[in-house]
Amino acid sequence: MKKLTINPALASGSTTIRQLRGITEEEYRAAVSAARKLIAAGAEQDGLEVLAGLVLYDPFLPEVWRELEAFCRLKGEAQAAGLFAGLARVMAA
Amino acid sequence: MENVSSMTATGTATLTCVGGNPLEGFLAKADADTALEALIFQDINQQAHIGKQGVKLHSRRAAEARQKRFEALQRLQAASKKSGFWGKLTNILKGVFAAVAAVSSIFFPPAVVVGAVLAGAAISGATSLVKAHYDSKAARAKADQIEEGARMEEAKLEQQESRDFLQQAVDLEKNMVQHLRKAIDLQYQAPRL
Repeated sequence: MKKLTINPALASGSTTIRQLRGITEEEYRAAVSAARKLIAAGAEQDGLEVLAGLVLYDPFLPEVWRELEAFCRLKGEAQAAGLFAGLARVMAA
Repeated sequence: MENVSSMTATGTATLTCVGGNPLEGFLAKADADTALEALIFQDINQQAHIGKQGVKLHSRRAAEARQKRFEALQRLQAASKKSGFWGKLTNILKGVFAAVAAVSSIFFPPAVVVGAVLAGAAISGATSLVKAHYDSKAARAKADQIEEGARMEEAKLEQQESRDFLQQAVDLEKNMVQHLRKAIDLQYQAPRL
């Protein structure tokens, strides 16, 4: 049986699935925006699953963390919001 | 092309696309059933190619900045484990929790593998003691057998963890694409403002 190994470039953080797929930052942000609007429309679970997928694609762009922060603040989850806000700041630096 | 639309399904939402539709661009590239598998688990030649490209594309400073971000993710992971944060939020952030778990599997050694390694080390230590105590051929053979068994168990766990992660990541990707497609469909059904 072939042994499964995680791509070292992904594992080291030197590239992301988004970059490997050739998805631009603009396209990524459009997807973040769609997730925001799904959540605003009441489809919270759908919107969160989109954000979750986007985190998987590229955790190094701050927008997705900001959306998670906003969602947590909306839900009164201050601790979680703080964690996501901190992460967004680091990614934006 | 300027395209501003609104949609109503169970609620209301507005999707605004200016200068083409980057969301469709995203989906065109993201929409591949199990492409994630090929991207994450690539052969050695492809990995080497990506590594070379990475060196060309990123300056040293950019690489250092990236490393800091990578470390921030690690700190978040550590902090959230200590505070029990993910456990409390599981019900609210199911999708996000799944993603963080999946990303963690990419970026950090899975806990189960770490556990297996520690267990392997413990067994290895124990077998060393057995070897020292029973200086006989039969005892050494038995100790080697135990050690080999522990190594095989460790490999099995690691393999299973990789498969679980892969399935989780593929499911997550499919859900994301499905929801985004729905968003685009609703956008086109909506009247233009």
